[in-house]
Amino acid sequence: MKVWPRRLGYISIMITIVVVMVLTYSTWENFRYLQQLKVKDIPLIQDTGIIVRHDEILTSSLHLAGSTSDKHWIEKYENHKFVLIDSISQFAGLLSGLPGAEVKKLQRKNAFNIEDKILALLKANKLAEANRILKSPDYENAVNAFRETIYSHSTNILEAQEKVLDNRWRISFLFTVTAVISLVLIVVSWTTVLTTVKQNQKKISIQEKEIKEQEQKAVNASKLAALGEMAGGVAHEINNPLAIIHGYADMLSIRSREEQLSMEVVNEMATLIKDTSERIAKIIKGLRYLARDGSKDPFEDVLLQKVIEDTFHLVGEKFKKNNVLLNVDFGSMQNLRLSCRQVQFSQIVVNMINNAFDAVKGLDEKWVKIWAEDYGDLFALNIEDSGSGIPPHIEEKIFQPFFTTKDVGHGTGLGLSISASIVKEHNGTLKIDHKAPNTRFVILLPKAIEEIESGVA
Amino acid sequence: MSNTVRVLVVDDEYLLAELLSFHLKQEGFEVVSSMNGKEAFQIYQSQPFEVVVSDVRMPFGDGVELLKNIKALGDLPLFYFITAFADINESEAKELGAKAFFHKPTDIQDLIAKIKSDLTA
Repeated sequence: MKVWPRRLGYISIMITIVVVMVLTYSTWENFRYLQQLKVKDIPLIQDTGIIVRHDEILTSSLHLAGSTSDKHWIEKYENHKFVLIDSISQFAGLLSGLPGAEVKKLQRKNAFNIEDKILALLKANKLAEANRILKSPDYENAVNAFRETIYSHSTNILEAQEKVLDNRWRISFLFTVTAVISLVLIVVSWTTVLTTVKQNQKKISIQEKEIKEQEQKAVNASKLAALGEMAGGVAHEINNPLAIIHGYADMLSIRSREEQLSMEVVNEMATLIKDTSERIAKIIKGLRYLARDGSKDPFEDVLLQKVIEDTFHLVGEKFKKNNVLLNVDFGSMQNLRLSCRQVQFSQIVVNMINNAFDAVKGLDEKWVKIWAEDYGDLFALNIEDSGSGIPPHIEEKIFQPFFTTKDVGHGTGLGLSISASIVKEHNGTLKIDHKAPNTRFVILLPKAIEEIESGVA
Repeated sequence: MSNTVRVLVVDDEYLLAELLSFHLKQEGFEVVSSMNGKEAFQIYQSQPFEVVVSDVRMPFGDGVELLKNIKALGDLPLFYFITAFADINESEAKELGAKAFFHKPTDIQDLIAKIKSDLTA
C-alpha cells in the first residue's frame, strides 16, 4: 500500500496548476490594461482638455486683438498656437492604433489658414477688414469643424474606454468568481489528499504492526518446528548418557556388594558419571539457546568457533547416527570474534546445519563442511554440503517465506527467510555461492570492532 | 560345546556396550560386543549366539537392519532392542521378531531378568 493517493493526488496537482495559470493570466491582463490606461487613455483625455482650452484661447485672443487693437493679444495668440499644434500632434500620436481611432483626422488647417490672414491684417492695423473675416461664416465654420472633431474624438475615446472598462469589469468579476471557486476546490482537494495520506499512514502502520506480529509468530513457529525435529536427536543424546550413568551406578552397587572397592575404582567411576552428566548439561544449554527469543538481546562479542561448536551438541547425534560427516575447520581463524545476538546467531547456525543435513542424509556421499574466511573487516562463514547445488528454478524462491522443498510436516519454509533477515539485522548477507561445486551457503558478517581495531584474524 | 549362553551386544555408545557386557558377564553370560550393525552381522555369521541385545539407531547398519539380516539367514535368536528414542515402537519391534523392547536409560537388571525368563521358557 502506498501513502500517496495517486489519482486524487494527480487531480489536486492538475487543479492547482490550472488555477495558478488562470490567475497568472488574469493578473497579467489587468496589469496590461492598467499600463494602457496610464500610458495612453489618461494622456488622451488630458490632451483633449488642453486642445479645447488652447483653441478657445486662440480664437478669443484674435477677437480681443480685433476689438482692442492691443498687440499683446497677437503675441498671446502666437504663443498658444505653438502649444496647440504641439498638443494636436501629440494627440494624433496617442490616437494611432487605438480602437475607435478611425474617426476623422484631427486637423485645424483651415482655421489656421484664415487666422494667418486675420493676423496679417491685424499686424497691418487693418482692423475693420480683420474683424470682418473674424465674424465671417467661413472662419466660424472652420473653427466649429475643428471643435466638432475634437468633441467627437473625446466622446469616442470615452465611449471606447467605457466599453473596455465594462468588459474588463465582467472579465475581472468572472476571474474573481473562478478564483474563489478554484481556491475552494484546491482547499477541498488538498484536504482530501492530506486526510487520505494520514489514513493511509495509519493503515500502513497497522499493517506493519500486524506483519511484525505475524513474523514473530512465524519465528516462534519455526523454532518450535526446529525443536520438534530435533527432539528425537536430543532425546537420543540425553538418553544415552543417562543410560551410562544408570549403568555405572548399578555397577557400583553390584561391585561394592561383592568386593572391597578401592578408592581408585570409585574415583574412576565417579569421574565417568560426572563427565557423562556434563554431556547432558551441554545439550540442555544448547536447547536453551535454541528455544529463547533472542531478538531483543544486546549485541555481544563472542568467539565464532565456540558458538558453532556449541550447536553440535544438538545436531551431532543425528550426524553420527546417519553417518553424515561433519567437518569444521577454522584454521587460522580460531580466535575470530563477532558481535552478535548469540541466541539468534546460534539459531541461524542450527538452521543452516539442519538444512545441510536434510539435503545430504539420503545421498551416497554424505558430508557437511563449515569453515571461515577472512575478508578484512568482514568474515565469511561457509556452510557447504555434499549436495549438487541449488537448482536455478528453486534458487529464486528459497529465501522467500513459506517456501520449502521438504516433505509435508518436515519443513515450515521459514528457516532460510528468517535466517536471512536475522543476518541482515547483523549487517550481513546470506547468499548461495554459485561457483562452488557443491551446495554452499555463505554468511558474510562484520567482525567484532575490537577485532578490526587490533587487526587480528 | 559349553553350556554358557552367548550374547551379542550391539551399541555405538562404547561405554554402554561395555556396561551391558559387564552386567551380563556378572550373570554368567559369555558376551561379545560390537559398535555397529554391519560389524555385528559379520560377527553373528561367524559365531553362534542365543541372544542379541541391540541399539536401534547406529551408523553403519542400524538394529532393525541387523534383525532383518539375521532373520534372512533363517535364524531367530532371542533379540532385544534398546533404544534411546521412539525410533520404533514395541508392537513394531515384536512384529519384526524381537522378544522385547527397552527404553534407555534401561534398568539392566530388568533386561537380564527378561533374558533369563525367555531362556527358560
